[in-house]
Amino acid sequence: MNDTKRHIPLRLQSPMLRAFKSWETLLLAVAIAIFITNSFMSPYFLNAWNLSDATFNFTEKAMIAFAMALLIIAGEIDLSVASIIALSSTAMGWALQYDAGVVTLVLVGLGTGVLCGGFNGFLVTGLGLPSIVVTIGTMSLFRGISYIVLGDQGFRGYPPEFSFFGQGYVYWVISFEFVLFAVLALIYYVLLHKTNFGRAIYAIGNNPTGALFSGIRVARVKFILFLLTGLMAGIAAVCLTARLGSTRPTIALGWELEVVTMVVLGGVSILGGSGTIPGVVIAAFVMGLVTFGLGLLNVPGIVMSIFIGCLLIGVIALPRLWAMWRS
Amino acid sequence: MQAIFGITRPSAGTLHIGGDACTIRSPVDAIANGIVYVPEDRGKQGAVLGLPIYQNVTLPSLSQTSRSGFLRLANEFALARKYTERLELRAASLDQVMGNLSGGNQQKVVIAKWLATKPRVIILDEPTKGIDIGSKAAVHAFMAELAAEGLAIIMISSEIPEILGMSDRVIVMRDGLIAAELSRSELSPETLVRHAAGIGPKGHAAGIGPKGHEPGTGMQP
Amino acid sequence: MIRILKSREALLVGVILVLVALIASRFPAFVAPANLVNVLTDTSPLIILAIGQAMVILTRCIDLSMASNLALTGMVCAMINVAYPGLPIPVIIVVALAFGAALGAVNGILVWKLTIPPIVVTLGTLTIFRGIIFVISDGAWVNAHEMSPAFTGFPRADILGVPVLAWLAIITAAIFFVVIARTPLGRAFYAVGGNPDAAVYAGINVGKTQFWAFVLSGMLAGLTGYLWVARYSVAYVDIAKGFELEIIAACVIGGIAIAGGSGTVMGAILGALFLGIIKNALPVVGISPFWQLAISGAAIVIAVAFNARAGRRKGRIILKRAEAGTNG
Repeated sequence: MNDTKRHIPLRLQSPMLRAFKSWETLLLAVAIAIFITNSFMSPYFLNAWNLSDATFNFTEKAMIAFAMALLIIAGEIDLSVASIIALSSTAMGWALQYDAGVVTLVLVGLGTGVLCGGFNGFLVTGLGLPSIVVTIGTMSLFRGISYIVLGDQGFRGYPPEFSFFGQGYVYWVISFEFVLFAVLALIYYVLLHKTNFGRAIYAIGNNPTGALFSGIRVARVKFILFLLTGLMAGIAAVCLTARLGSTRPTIALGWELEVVTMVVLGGVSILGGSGTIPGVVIAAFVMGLVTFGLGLLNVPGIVMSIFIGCLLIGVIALPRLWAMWRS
Repeated sequence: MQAIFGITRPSAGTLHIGGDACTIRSPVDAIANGIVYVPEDRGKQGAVLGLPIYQNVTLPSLSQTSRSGFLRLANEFALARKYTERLELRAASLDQVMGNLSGGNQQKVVIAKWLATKPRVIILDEPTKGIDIGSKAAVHAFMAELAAEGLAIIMISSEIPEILGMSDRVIVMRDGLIAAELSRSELSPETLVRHAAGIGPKGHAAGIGPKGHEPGTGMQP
Repeated sequence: MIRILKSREALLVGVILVLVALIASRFPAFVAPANLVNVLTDTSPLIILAIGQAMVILTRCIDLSMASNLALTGMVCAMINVAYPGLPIPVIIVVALAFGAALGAVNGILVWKLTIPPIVVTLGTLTIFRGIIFVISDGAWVNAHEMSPAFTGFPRADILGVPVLAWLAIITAAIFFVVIARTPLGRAFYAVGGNPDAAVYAGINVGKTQFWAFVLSGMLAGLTGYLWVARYSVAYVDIAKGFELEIIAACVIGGIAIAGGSGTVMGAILGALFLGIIKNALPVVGISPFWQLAISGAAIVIAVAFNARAGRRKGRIILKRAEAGTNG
C-alpha cells in the first residue's frame, strides 16, 4: 500500500465539455437551423416587428412551462394550468363588474392562480393523491366553474391601462411580455440551479423516499411547486386576458398539452429527476419559431400542431433510435 | 428505529438525548437533534442514486455549505471530499453519479453524508448487509473509531457474530417488543438466540406467533 | 382483494341508484324505460371508450389520443362512404376497427420498441392524429346529405327496442369481460400493471403486453369513431375534442387505479354510466348544461380521494398490528 493519500478528483469532465455535449446544445442547433430556414423561406421573417410579434406565440406558455418544469423534475405534473388561466381570467372579469382598478385586477388574477395551485397542492401533498389524476379532475373543475359563471357569454371592457400587460412595449420592439418572460427565465434559472431549493427538487424527483430520509421536506417542497405553478398560470392569465381584451370560458383551451410539450422538448424527463431551465427556454424559442415560420408560409394552425407533435415524439425517439442503431 | 428518525409515528414513549426530552415528527427534526439514520434499503432510502456523489453527501448539510439559500459548489466539494476520503471511498470522481458505485462504496457515501452533519447519535440499520467482505471490515473498524470519538451508535443487526463483536449493550427485540436487555458481560450466542426466539431462561413466554425476530444491539461510549 | 374491488363497484352501483332515485323522485319521466334506453344509448360511446382506456391504464400506461383517433377514424369512414356509397356497413365497421387498431399500434410501437413514456407518446399523437384529419379533409365538413342512409342509419337501427349503438356497447362489454377474466392477455394486463418487474420473471413481455393494450384501445376508439360520425351524421376536425379526459374521468370514477394493475371492466362501465346519467339529468332537473364540466371534475377529485382513502385504510390495519407493541 502506498502512504500518500489518494485524492478523488472532483470532476472528470470539465463543465464546458459537459455543456457542449448536452441536450441543450443540440436543441440550440435545431433552433438556429429553424431560424436560418425560416429566413430563407419567407422575406417577412427577418423583420424586427414580425419577430417581436412572434414572441407572443410562446411567452405566456413559457412562463407556465418554467414552473411546470420544476414540478415535472420533482416527479409531479399539473394538467390544470390552462383551466387555472380560464378561472383566473373569469375572476378578473368578475372583479371588473365591480369596477376594480388595474392593480386589483392583477391581484385577483394572481390570487386566483395561487389559490388553484394551493388546492392542487393540498390534494396531492395533503391527501397523498396522484397528481396526474388530481389535476385532470381540477382541470375540468376549474374550467367548469368558468363555464358556470360565463355560460356562452364573455367579459370584455377591460380598462385601457390593463392592456399594457398583454400589448404594451417597454422599448422599441421589446414587449412587456417578453421582458417578463426573460426576467422569469432568469429567476427560475437561479431557483433551480443555484439554490438549495433547486437541489431538493432534483433529489425528490430522483428518489422521493431517499430525499425524505435525507432530511428534505418533500411534501412542503412539492406544495410550494404547485403554488408556483398556480402563480405562473395566474400571471399568464393576466397577460393573455390583457392581450385578448376579453374573457371567454374557452380561453387557453388545450394549453396544458402545449406547455408539457415545451417542457419535455426542453429535455426535462417526464419521469422526473432531470432537466434544465435553459433547455426549456430554448424549447420555447423552437416552438415559437416553428409556429411563426409555418404561419408566414400560410400553413394553418392545426397543421402546425402535427409538426409540434412530431417534434415532441421525434426529439425523444431519435436519441433512442440512435442508441439502438449503434448497438 | 424509523420512529426515532421521525418516519413513522411512535405509539408511545418519550425520547431523551443526553437527558433532554425532545419530540421528533420528521427526519428534519431528527437531524436537527443530532440523530441520523443509515437505512437498510440503501437504493431506495439511503441514497439518491441518480445524483452525483458530492450532492448526496451534502444533501442534509446544504444549510452549512450554502449562503442564505444559494448553493456554494466549492464548499460542497470541500465537505464531500473531507468525509468521503475519511471513509476511504473508491470512486472515479466526486461528480460521478452514485448509482455507478458498488454497494460497499454506496454505503460509505451514505455514512459520509451523515457524518458531515456532525451527529450525536447514529443509527445503522443492517449496515453490512449485501456489501463485500472488505468494505464490511472497513465499516466495522470505522464504527469502533466513531464510538471511540464519543458518538453514540445504535446498530440493528440480525447477524449474531456481528452483534457479539461490536456491542457494549444489546437489546433483543421480538415482535416489536423489547425481549431482553443484556450487557456485554452477559453476552453469549446462546442467550441471544434464547431471547430472540422467546425461550428465555427465566421462562417468560412473551409473544406468540412465528413473526420475524429482530435482535437489536446498542453500543455506547 | 377481490372483495374490496367488488365492494367498490357495489358502492358505485349504490351511488348511481341513489342518484337516479333522487332525480326520479322529482322527475318521474327520467326513469321511464324509453328515457333510460336513451341515456344508455347516449352513454354507449363513452362506455366503449372507457373499456379501451381501462385496458391501457391497467398496464400502467395512459392513452390521451383516443378522442383524436376516434375523430380521425370517423373522418376516414365518412370519406370512404362518400366515395363509395354502396360499400356495405360491415366492411365500414371492419375498416373502422382496423384503422383504429393501426393508430393504436403506432402508440403501442413507440411505447414498446422505443420505451417512450406513454403520456408523451399519446400527447404527441393526440395532436398529430387531429392534424391529419385537417390534412385529409382540407378542413371541410362531411355533412348528413353526403352520407348514405345505410351509413347513418346503422347505429340508430332498432333491435328489441334498443338501438344498435347500445347493443354494441353491451357486446363490447361482454367480450372484454371474457378477455379480462378468461384469456392470458387479460391476466398479463394485470401482471404488467401490478408489478412489471415480477411480470418479467413470470415470462411476460411487458412492452408487448402494453402494445396489445394500445391496439385494443385504438380498435375501440376506431369503432366509436364510425358510430359517432354516423350517429351525429357529421364529420369534421373538432369532433369529440377534449373527450379524452372524459374517458379517463370515467375510468378514475370507476375505480381503475392510474398506477395500474387494479380495476375492472365493470368499474369502467359504471364510471361511464355515472357521467352519462349526470349529463342527461342536468337538463331534466333544470340545471344549466354548463355545470356538467365542473360536476365531472368534482366527481373525479372525490373519486380519487375516496379510492386513495380506501387503499390507505387497508394499510392502517397492518400498521396497527405492529404498532400495538412498538415503543418508540
